[in-house]
Amino acid sequence: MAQTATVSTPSTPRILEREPLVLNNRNYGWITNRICGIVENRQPALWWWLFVPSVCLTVIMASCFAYLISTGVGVWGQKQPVAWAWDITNFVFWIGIGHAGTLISAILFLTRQKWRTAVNRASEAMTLFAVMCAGLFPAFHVGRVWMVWFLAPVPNANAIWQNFKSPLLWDVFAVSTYFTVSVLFWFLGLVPDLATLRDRCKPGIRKMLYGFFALGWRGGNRQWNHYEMAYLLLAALSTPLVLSVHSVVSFDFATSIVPGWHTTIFPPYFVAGAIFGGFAMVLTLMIPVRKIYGLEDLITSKHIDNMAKIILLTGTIVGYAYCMELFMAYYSGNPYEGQAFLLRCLYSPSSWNYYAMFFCNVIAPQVFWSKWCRKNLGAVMVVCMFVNAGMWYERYVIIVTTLERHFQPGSWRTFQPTWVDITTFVGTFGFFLMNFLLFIRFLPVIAIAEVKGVLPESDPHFDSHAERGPHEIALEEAKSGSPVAA
Amino acid sequence: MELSKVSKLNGIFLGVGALGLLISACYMFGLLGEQRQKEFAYSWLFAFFFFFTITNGGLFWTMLQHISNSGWSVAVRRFFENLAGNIRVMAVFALPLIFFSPFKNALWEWIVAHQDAAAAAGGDTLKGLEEASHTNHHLHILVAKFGYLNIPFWTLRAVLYFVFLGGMATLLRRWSIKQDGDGDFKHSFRARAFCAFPLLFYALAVTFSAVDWVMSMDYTWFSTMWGVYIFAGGAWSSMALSIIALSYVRSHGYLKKIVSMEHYHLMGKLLFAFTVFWAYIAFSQFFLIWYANITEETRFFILRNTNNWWYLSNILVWGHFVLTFVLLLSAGRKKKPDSIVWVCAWVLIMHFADIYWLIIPERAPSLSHGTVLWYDGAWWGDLAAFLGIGGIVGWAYLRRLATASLYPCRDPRLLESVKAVN
Repeated sequence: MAQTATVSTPSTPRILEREPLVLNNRNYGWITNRICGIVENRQPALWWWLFVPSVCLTVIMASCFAYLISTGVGVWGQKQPVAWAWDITNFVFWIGIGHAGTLISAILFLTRQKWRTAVNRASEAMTLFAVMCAGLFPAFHVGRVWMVWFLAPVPNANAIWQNFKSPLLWDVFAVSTYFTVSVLFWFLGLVPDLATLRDRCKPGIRKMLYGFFALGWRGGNRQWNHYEMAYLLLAALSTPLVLSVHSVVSFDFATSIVPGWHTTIFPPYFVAGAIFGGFAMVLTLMIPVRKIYGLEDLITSKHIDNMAKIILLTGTIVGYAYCMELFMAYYSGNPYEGQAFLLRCLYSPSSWNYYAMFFCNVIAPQVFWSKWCRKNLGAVMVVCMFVNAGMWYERYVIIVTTLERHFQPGSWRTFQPTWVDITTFVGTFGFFLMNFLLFIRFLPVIAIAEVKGVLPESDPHFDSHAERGPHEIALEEAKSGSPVAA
Repeated sequence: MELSKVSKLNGIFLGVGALGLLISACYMFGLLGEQRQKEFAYSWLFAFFFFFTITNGGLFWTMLQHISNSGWSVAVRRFFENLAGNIRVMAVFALPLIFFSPFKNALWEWIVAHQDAAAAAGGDTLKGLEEASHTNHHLHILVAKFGYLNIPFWTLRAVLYFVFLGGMATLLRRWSIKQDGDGDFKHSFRARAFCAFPLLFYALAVTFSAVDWVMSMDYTWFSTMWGVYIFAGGAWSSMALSIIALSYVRSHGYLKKIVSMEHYHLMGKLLFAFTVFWAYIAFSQFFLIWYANITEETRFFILRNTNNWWYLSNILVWGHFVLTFVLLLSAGRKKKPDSIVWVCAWVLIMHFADIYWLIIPERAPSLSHGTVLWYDGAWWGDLAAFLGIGGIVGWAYLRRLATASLYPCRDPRLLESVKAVN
């Protein structure tokens, strides 16, 4: 039941109530029990129905990589001039998905958006798994994956100098920094909740492991003080990373002189696109999770509404960037630039990808102007699926359709993926989902301590007499034996 | 606010503005010679664009606060609403740029080319351009972009920008003030709904006005980042100006119990965020053009890295970003009105430098057909135009502040704002 609105009297100014972030006046105990219960109880059958296929897909993915190592990168479909194809497309796609986590955990924390608490843990976890999926592709594209450590500027037997002038090397640093900081941030947030799990466990291996990772957390005042400070500092440090990672990824293309790649708006355009795709994936995962585990009081329709609005905003920013690219291709009067976009949109056999991209990323999210659509879970899921697909198309359009029609018409070639391309990519979804399911199984999917912090009673000035919910009223009635006025 | 309390400053603004406009008129109507008149066209565009971007920034913050259903900002929203209200004054100052031929011809080479082509081909500009492009190959570009860059459409767009921006600013302020009277929630809901979709048009208006008036000074140059760059600087400097205005008003005893250090801190944080955002956008634009090193793009930066302009470019790097970044890192400094206003003043100086750096380097090479980089003494015109437009804009802003309550006194989120803690 929602909180009752403040009664307006002439002496008190009229105010608009904010929607509560936790519904039905759930108290601390309920929140702990509900979230820890997911880890402590048996998983529903659906969990196994998802877990087993995703493990199978992971095995297929691993087999594909094994086949690639044993045979050569030629098992993928790229041939000149399309030297980058599904691999880099998938890399950018997964890296983009990994952006919502840091945005929610860092930027929304700094801007004091309290609604983030319900979704930050899961989206941070999702970020890590997405970055892991992303890292696989360039690592294996190198060909001899066991030599990938040559990318690090450390002394090596062949005395190879890393090419610091190459954006590809900057990618290595940007992505690895992002991954490291994201892991630290995620782990730091987990510490109090791990201690909660530890305290609820029976003695045994689980208790020992939770206890080990809880780092001796006792919830004392000084510990909280240090924790909050560390969390704030990590949030400030990871905020630039939200911008830097995808900006550097965009440099892979924009620093070149390839028409269709070299354009100055790429960095913010990529970042907006990454946040857009990341939020769509968060919703894709969290809408089923809240339903399956009964978390509707914690991840409310207000949370979904907010995320749908962010998708609408970032989708429109992405649309602005698409249109600005088209406009400048025309306005520049540069025939190469103009032709690149004419081929991309009209004349190339792959031009349908452009329309698929435009529809999925710009047109489909426009339904979120309607409140009904933002509140309707089916509609939200459908749009998120469009966005998930659209963000893959976007990278495919930028990378593959541009290279297919390079400077020399004589070398034009339409790209065809091989079965290895397709199964490897599908396999990464299995890998991603497998990790996410394991995360749900073993770790608290919602940040328990943080959600408690946004309850009205966590406010030091909270007046329990002024804002009693039905729960408290019922308790008082039971004690006194007579009806109590709300 | 009583106007009499600020009458001294308002008088100074009016006096300086009137004097500046008087000198500007001498330049504008050629009393100081034709050459000075041409040079002054750039001065006018610079001064106009400086205040135009800040005014647009005021509208952006107003719209953002409505659309994000923001609670903390209600106490200070009126400052942004009043700043956005200046758009009508800016429309008057835009008139010489849009309709005064000597200015147009001095600023935009493509307009001259179009006029010559029309004269040569009996009024058919496109045909004239096509014929002329056989001998002057640069004109091919003007033929290619004729659909966008032609005088009637360019003029129409200018009118549309002001109709849209001015309409938005007026309506939002009107509803906000109406709510002061009747306390009706519907004004808040209406403003929120009304800001959502037009934010897209706002983005387009800011982008294309910057393309039309500044980018097209060199019709061969282009950058997709341009609109974002101009927007970032405008939003940044309008936040700084609003903090200064807020502090000024508070120093006269107003808003003492409504606006707290928390508001200063929050506004300071947004200022900090936009310091970084501007640097990110400016760096990305420069870096990608520098790295790719393609002739048609590099001219913009080569010009601004030549001779003395190189120093100004460096001032932007170290002053616009590095120093401001360091100054705004401290939470204590952001919370103290006495210290943040100095940072804000610095921000405005840097915005001045930024707009100067965008527009003025084009002046001498363009007017002298590439033979000179710098005109001695032309900066007097820059100063006159800046003081003229700035004085009148400041005067109008202070007067507008005095016409209504200094904060939306019956906004349903006002209590939330007064109690804001971050």
